[in-house]
Amino acid sequence: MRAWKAVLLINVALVVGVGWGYAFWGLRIGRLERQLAEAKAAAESGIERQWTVDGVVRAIFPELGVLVLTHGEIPGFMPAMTMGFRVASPKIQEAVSVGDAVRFTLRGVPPNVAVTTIEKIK
Amino acid sequence: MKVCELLERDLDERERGRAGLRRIDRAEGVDARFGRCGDGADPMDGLVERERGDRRAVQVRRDGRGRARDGVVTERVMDRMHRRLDREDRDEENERGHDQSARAPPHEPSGRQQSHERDRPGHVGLIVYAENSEGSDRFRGGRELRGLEDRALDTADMGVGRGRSQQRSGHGDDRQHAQHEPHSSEETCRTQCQWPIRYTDRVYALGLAGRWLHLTSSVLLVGAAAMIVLAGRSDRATAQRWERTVLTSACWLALVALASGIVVLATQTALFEGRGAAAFEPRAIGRVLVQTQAGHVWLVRAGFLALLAAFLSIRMSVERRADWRAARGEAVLLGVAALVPLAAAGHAAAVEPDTARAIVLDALHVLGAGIWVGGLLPLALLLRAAAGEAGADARPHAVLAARRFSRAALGLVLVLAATGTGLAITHVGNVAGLVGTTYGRLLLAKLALLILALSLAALNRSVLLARLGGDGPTVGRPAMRRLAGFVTVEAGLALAILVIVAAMNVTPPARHEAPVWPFTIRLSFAALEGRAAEATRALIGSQIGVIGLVALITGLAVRAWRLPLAALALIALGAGAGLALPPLTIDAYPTTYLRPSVPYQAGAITAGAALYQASCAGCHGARGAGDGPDGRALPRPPADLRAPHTAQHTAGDLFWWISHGIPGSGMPGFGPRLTEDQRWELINFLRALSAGFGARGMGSTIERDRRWLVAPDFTFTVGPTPPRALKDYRGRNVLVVLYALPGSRPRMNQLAGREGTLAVLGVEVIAVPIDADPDAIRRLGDDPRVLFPVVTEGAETIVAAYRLFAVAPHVELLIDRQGYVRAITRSSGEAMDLDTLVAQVQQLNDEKTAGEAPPEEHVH
Repeated sequence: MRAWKAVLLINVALVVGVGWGYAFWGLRIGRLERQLAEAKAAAESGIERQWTVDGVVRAIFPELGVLVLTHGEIPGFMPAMTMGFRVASPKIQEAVSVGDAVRFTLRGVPPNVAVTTIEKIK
Repeated sequence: MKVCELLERDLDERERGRAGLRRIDRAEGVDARFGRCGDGADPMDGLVERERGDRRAVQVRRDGRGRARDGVVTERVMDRMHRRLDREDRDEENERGHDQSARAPPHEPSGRQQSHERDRPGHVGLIVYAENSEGSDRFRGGRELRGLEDRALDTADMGVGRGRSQQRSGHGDDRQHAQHEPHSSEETCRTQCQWPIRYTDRVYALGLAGRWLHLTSSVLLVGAAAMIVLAGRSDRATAQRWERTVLTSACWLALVALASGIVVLATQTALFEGRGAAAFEPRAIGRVLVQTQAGHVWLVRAGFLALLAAFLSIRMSVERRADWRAARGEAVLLGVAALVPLAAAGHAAAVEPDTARAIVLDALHVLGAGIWVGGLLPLALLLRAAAGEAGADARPHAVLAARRFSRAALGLVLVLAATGTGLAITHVGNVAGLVGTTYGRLLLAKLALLILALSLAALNRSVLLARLGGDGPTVGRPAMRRLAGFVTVEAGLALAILVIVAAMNVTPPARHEAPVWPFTIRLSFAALEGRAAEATRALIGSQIGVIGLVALITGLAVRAWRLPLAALALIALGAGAGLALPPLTIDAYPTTYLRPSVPYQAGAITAGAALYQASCAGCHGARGAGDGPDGRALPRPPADLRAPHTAQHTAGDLFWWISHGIPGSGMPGFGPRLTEDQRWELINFLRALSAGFGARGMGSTIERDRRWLVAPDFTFTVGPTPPRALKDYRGRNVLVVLYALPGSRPRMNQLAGREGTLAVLGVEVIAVPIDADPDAIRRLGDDPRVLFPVVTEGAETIVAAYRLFAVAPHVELLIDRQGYVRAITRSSGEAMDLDTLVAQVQQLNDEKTAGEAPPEEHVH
């Protein structure tokens, strides 16, 4: 065989090998990661979930049935922030006052969640 | 969670932490700094373990952004690797039986095993850049748990490390606070991502020799192949003989490169694993190969080297031009492919940000060096062969080859200079790094050798190259013989440079080291501040210098006037320097460019303030004015620490004076009395004091584009939520309100009522009760509703630090998106026109901040 043909063959083999490897592994890894993320998201959506979080009562809106809480991170749902939550029963609002450090339970199908239990801490 | 569960978990964490501990223990007694740095997805705490002798202090540093890293191994890969390592360690543990580890503290056995190694003094440390991600995470968990068991019992969430450490820093423990706060990326990198592993001289020498051999053979391979292509095809017997010789040696070189590559891989494995024995364990080597970026690069390169060796060993017919071109071109291609990936496994791969840019620069640098350095030796061989009586037939060929190489080398050297400068800026950064660190000094040595080699090359090019074509026996051949000799010397110099390169590969880049300034003076424009006469002198001197420079350039360009112009240039440059430089000099100390180990942070400032009152106020005065009662008897009046002249002094200068005192002035050295971190805290306080003195003039309206007052970072807690830091608010305007009830009630009501407006404008309000009442939220009440963060923990520290800037019953500090205090409103808390505030914020929002660097996290 002529030398240049051999060289060409080697290079083609290299390119094909690298390309094939990328197509086989590189692309597949990306695809698998995407699928994993999708599967995770699918598993978590549409299902009733429950969190217990610490927070502090900032405001009470009895007429709206809303409690404003500064809370820590709610894993998989929202980061730490101050926001209003629906309460499952008016009693929950009556049990606390502004400034109370509380541990509360959130329950529901995100984003439809409500405070179901609350207790003062400290 | 029950106590027993906690303890069980604790034990488990300790078990899992062993991998991390073992690594620490290797460097015990030196200064083991390591920890983990995060990737974006998982910002986490880093742990810095410092062990000096018996004294042990665990420091947890929170790396909020979690972006710093430095590694030949990318973190994700190391992450995986350590997870595996930990798992396997645990498995081994199970095999050996648990009782041993349960009895002894987990870090002791491994530490002892290695003690004979680390006790050997006086050797250079090999440093691996890598993240101990998973290992230290667990390790940290274990450590933290152990220290905090008592506190842990009443907290349910035992989420490893982070929650705990933050919880702790939120408890207002100022001293801890100061040390635990986020560090700049560089700092984090320096302290957390390296494990200085001290190795014996022998191992170091072996590693270095292996690296050099590997580098040299890889470089020579490319050079040899490229030189053949440059020289072109020849039908002369001598030239063909030379070509065959070069090809045969290239084949052997490929094998040498492969073999030395294995040595390099083995030493690298030992470093990654942190134990010498790992170099001989196929399993450990396999892990490095599969799971680290350096391993991947090694595999790719080894593949190409093997292919190249096989390709070169095949004798194929290259009678035809196309065949010759294909075969020789392929050799170059494979050689380059085997050499260039090195860039992705060196320091360049650890640069952040702009990793890709650094890798490309490094790749070009390596490629340029490969062709130039590697081409010298084959060229010398060809010249030598052609210079002889017997090789006269190849003389035209050799002349052509030398000319082509010379032209190519000129371009390559330019490429090398450009990429080398870029890389030096990336890895070294400044003059202090160049002269004050091992890496920088190696670079200087490399430059010195390079200049020698280049002068020789210039001589060859200008004198000998032209004579090559002259009459054979009288001019051409002797010139060629001499050129061959010179090129050999040049090649020798180049190989010596490669020794330095190999050493640089295993030395941490200057940017990540603490530079030790070797001179007693430094130059700075700050020296001219407020000294008009000196400034004029410097200006005149610099102008004379410019004239000298112009003369020099003209002299180089104009041949006829070269000598007088050169003389003029010399005189002007000398006179200019003599005039301009003396006014610019400032005293300097070894620590002048040291980076503080404690960030500029409210906790550090408060801690520093306490230290100041205890150790310094006696002479320097309670307020830093230099009017303390004990200072009157001193030979020189104590310095007024509020004065702005501190700009002339780096934090490192202050560190030196505090540590060693100022001879003849009465200022004693506090080195023996205060720890290093305490001294830095003191410096943080001094900076805040000086800044606060300047902040007296700052009013409630902002000055456009004038940012100078850095807002010290702080952490705070609202109720039982996790701690936050001021720095988390970067990118938004922040209004820090120091308030006291009942005086501030009207203003607080006003702010609470208009919080929505402020939020829309991009202002976050952080309310800090001056009395640090943990029940502050309740006291503010619910009418109107106060929804912005009200600090319930950490207020004392914030108030203490920020009161250096403004003292009033009610203070509002407007901090811009980059973290500078821009306006300070002092009042007694009455309601004020909110439109003024809104106008200031709108003005802030109008400012262009793109390209403006956020303030340094350390004083400097």
